[in-house]
Amino acid sequence: MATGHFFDEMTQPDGLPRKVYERVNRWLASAPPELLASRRSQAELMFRRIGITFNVYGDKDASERLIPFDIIPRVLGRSEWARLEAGLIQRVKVLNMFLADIYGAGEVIKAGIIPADIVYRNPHFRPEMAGVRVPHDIYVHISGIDIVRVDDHDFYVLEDNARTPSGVSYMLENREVMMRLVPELFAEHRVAPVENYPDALLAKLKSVAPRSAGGEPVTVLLTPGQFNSAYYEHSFLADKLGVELVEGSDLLVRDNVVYMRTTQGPQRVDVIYRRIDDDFLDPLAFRPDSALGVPGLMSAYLAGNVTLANAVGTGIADDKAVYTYMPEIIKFYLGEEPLLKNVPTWRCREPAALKYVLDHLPELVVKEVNGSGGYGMLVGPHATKAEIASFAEKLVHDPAGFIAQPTLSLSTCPASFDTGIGGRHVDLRPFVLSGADGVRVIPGGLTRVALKEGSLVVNSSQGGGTKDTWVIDDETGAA
Amino acid sequence: MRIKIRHETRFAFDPSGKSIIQTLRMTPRNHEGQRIVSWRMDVNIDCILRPAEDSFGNVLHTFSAEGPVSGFTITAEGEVETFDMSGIVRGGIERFPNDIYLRETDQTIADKGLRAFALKAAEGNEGTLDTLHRLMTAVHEGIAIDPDASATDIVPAADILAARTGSAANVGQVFAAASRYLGIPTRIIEGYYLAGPFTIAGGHSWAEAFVEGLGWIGFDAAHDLCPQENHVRAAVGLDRLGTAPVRVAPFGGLAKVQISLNPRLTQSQSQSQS
Repeated sequence: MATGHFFDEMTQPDGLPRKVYERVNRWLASAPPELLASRRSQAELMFRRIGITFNVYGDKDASERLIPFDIIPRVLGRSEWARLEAGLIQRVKVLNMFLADIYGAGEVIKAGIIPADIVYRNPHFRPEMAGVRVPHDIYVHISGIDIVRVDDHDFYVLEDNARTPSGVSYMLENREVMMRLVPELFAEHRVAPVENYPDALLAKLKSVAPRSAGGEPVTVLLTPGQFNSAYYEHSFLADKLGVELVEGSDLLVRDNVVYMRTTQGPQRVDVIYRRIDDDFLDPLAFRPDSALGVPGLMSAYLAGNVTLANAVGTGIADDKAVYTYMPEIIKFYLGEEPLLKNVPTWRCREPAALKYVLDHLPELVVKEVNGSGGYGMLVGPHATKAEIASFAEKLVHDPAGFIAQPTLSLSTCPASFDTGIGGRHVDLRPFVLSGADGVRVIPGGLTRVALKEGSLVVNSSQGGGTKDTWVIDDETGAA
Repeated sequence: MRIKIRHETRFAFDPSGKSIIQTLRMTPRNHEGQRIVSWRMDVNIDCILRPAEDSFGNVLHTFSAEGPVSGFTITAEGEVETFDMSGIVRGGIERFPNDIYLRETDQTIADKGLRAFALKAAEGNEGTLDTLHRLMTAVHEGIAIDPDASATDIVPAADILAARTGSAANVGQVFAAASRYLGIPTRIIEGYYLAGPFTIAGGHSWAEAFVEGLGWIGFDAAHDLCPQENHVRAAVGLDRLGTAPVRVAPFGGLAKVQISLNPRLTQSQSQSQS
């Protein structure tokens, strides 16, 4: 991997723009600073009007925040995208095969590809799902695979998100705002549309409806409620999908069938796009104190009378310990080389790796196997000595609970500020949909950008922003 | 030995519940140490008892009813023939590799106190079986059985150990948490225990641990013995939440829930087979 200098997606080391960025570069060069400033303030105004916000856990003072938006699009050429897309399809296919396998025959464990304890002792392996077949063997209907680049060729998977990935509302809103903000740039590019995401999602959800559903499966979106950090997205998506947004108390289970309470009486529900974690889904099966779930939902699910998307127990597939085995898992199921690379990772459960990690903490990123969203991780180069010492103690106490990765030289993209234009580190979360008719990737995704100069943490909860992501068909610059 | 079991669970709601939904795990299954002679389940309200099998192989019944429901009684009743296998459980339903029974669940977290307790109990042991017996005695001697504590209240292992007292049924989780911490696959059993000379009969819970070469062996730390003929297994799982005979959801305007659980176990007329 490249170290020392960063790969900039717009500007080459020789100062010339990369082909896909030629027109953006021209636009930036010709636009006066006042124009960019006014676009920035217009963008902020639009987002405020839309009311797209998120909540930060553990921060009482700022319960609702606007995610900063950067007006310079992140551009990918069609040929780059085609490579990424093929890799994503391969990856998500395998995630589904892996889940069907470990909840079924367990061939991948018997073959010695992945140690049994990583699967069976993992809290995200749900024994309730063992021996259960889900419609079309699709477990991960919606996934968001976090991708980073370090050079102009390879894409690396940073993390698979197979539970209830969020952020797709930003992808859609960012595009809408950009089309109003810089119509002149759109006129110069053929940008692949993302607006059909809700239609594609609904089609995938309906394709996995139980047999009992008939021609028009009734689909609902189940949210934990307005106190959830992604509640805006839940209501936004329900609206775009044209389905009811329900909370646990709006659903009831009678004789293993799920119904929605409506003013016309109970209506049978076939597919539930759930944005509630497994633990809270059903107080009769999981956490008994959950007031967010639907009592009896698991019985109905196991009886095959309702489809949950994503399926229960998908957390084992995006587990950080399982992640380290993904390249071998892909080869095992498909007999193909993985198209997307894994970030080199030390498994701290292995004594040799643990020793290396403890010796090199100041230069590594150490992640808790069960943590997410940038919580519970150590970024070595930015940590104080005391932080490193206390983290080392945690590591020694529970080595299997951690993995470590090198500090990646994430690629940079230009971002626009009051002080001018500067390169900032970015990642990408494309959204991948799976259904009875295969896997589909929406061209684009959510680009997250670390707005603080030099920062590598792109999480919105840690001061990251977003960008619109363009996949352009005419990358040769012939327009 | 033949054991007759009649297990009634009564629910009373005040005010009446709008609707009710429950899952039941109270149907024993055969293994080499027990044979089900007869068994029936009944709920005295209008509903359908839907049978299913959970992933551990337990028989699971689900039922739901529309209200107003002011109360009802669940009756599980039958006769089970038991055989002394010296605690070894064979010929039951095994669905999972042993690794899953090493898992720490919310009920069986090995906190600092529990870890120290487990290590102390295992000190100087001569192998897995010996460790388990030492552990069983340590739990039996270290935790006072509170005869007034409800068997249906599920209390995490660490809390029981910290309080050094708990219901006989909750002691098994302490054993399981400690034995898992020591690296021995261990699971929780929910079932029935026929009175011994010093104890009363009733719903009970204990543990089973896996010993290489022997297989699964029951350990009833509350009574400091391995199950012989007096125990009837009804459900197996990772902890008592997973094996609970009745799971009730907290919803539907059920302001007050009263549960009375009084399994009656009696030894049948001995039927000589020799």
